[in-house]
Amino acid sequence: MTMDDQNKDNTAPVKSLPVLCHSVVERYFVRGYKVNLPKGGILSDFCEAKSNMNDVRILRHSNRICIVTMAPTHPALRPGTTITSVSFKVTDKLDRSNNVVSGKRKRGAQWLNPSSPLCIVTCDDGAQHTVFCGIRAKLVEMNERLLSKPKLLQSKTETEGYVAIVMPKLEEANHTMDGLLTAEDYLQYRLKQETLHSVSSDKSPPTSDSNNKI
Amino acid sequence: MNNTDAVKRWEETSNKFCVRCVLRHLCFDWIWVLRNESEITEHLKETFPEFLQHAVAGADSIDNANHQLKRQGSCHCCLGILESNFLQPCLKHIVDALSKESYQFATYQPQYFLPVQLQVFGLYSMKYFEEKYSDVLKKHNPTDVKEVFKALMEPILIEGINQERDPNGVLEISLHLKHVSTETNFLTHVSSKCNEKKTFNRKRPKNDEPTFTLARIRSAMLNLNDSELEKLCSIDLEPSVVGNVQLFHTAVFVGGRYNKYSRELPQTPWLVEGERKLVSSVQEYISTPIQKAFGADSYNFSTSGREDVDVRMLGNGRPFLIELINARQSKMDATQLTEISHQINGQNNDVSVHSLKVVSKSDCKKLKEGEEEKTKSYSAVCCFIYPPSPDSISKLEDLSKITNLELKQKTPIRVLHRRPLATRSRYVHAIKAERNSNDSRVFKLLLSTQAGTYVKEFVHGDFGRTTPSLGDLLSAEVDIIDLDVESVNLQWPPT
Ligand SMILES: [Zn+2]
Repeated sequence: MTMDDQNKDNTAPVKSLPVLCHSVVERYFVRGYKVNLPKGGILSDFCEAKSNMNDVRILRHSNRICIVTMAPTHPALRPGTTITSVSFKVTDKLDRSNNVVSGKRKRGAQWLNPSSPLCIVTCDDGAQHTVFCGIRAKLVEMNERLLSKPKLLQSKTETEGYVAIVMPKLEEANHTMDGLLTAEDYLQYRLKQETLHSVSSDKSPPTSDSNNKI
Repeated sequence: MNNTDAVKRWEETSNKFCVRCVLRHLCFDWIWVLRNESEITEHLKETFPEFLQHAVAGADSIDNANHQLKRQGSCHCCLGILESNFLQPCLKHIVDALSKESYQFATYQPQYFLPVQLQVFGLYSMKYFEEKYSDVLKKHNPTDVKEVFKALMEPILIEGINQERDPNGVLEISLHLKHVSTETNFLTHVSSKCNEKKTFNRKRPKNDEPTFTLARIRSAMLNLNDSELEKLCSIDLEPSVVGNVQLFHTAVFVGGRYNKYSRELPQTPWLVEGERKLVSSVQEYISTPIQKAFGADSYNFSTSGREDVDVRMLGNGRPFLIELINARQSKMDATQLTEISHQINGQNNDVSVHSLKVVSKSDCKKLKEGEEEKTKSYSAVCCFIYPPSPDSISKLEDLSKITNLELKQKTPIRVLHRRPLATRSRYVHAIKAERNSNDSRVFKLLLSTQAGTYVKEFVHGDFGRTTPSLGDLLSAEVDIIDLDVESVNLQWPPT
């Protein structure tokens, strides 16, 4: 397996044509996954136990900036489900829209822990899901376009439909991906969870991700 | 005052002070203060016949030229700095320093640094003359020792250094004078009278002069009473000496344009946590030979804009400017400059320069002036991620109809770690696409933009953070394979 292969999570379209260039994400970012949020857990936890599938994907740029997106396994991305709205007001008192940063150090940023909520998505079936951050970092920017175009979360999960841009502290920057599943781990996790969920549930498992192009 | 008193008074005075300082205190006059010691003595005699005639007559008969021998130690006012025999050694130090270096300079500018102790002896001598010569002193306003020293050195420098003297001279010659025996205990004593707590001056380098600043000594002197001052200053003094001579050439600027043909060479040294990431840089390839040719201690490299490591700089090249610090040479003729460009261009195939020119300081600002407004032309190889629809192809062909398209660009993610988050407005002035006949997914994009436009982000959209992106314009997902800067439209170097 090459480095590139390890970094993929099988959500990329099958390319029959020769690869002209790797996508921006593949060229400059490493993928990592934080699953079963807000509680979290490591890969071995999910061999027998079911995850709540509230999973996020972290794209880490070589300059330490990270982009938080929903992971393909997230319940809100199940086929047949449509996301109807997104709210940045995560509690009565905390609204991610109020985040303002200044200077190159991004002073004034809201601080985020792995279990900090970033936004709440509402689906057409009435279900509401909180999307969590997954890592420790400063909030640099929420994806404001989601407010007017919530469907970007589904149609362009890994690019224009990102959730937030965050920046870990400089001294923690080398350890951002430490507690996360790698792309390879995540594939295993996903296969296992699909099996566990399909045995005990009639609901269609969160397998297909064909509309989740990169 | 009778004759005996006058003789006594004059004996004491000439024991303490040099005749130039006596003249400065008793009857200052620029014409006379610059003459030699025996002429000054004559002048004093004529000016104050009533008390000096008899007094100096005695001294005269011993040996006027040798009058210093009578004095114990150096002058208690100028610390020997204004005595004629001190001046030539100063020149010698300067000439020696110049001969050790290979400076080629057209004009120079001297700077004198005198011992701070002069402040204390200045006050001492003021009080002395006011007390002892109240009968002849009408107005008492002696000119500063430094001013007189400057004036005395001027003809000596002009004769000794065969170059033009210029207040804005390119070679700064700093002469540091010191008076050794009063440097430590004497100054510590005076300084202890200062009310203010010793404050640390953080800007001052550790190895620099002592912490007895002029301000501190002046403020301490306010608290010295007359008897303390008298006691402190009534000591034997050796003459001042030359501490050292520093030479510094003011900045020399070299302008030119460079091309870069590599996609692996950064513009400036690429350091991550102090560690070098790539072997060299455009900056180093260009600056090192120029620095050597001009014999400079160091340099600063600046350019009009910059390109990423994987972007080539083609066409007429990018304007650059090198500031040479303490160069040994400030002039190069066209042949020498051509020789330097050949040397730079012969190093490798990645970087070349042309139009090298020594530019004036006032021209330098033109490099950064209008950096934002200037137009830049790029060519980019781009591709459709998926085979393009007929709609996308027709939109591709219509790109050339676009003029002055306004972009809103958020700070690109790739630089967001070191720049503030902001949304900037930039203009794409014109775009044109050339399709590749072999591969329908590939096309070449020619565009001219306002300087400061992030072209890569315009093409791929940077997670939807640049709008509209090329992808938006084509209703397709596109990406950029290669980017070249074709021109930076700035008149440089100035003619
Ligand atoms: Zn004197």
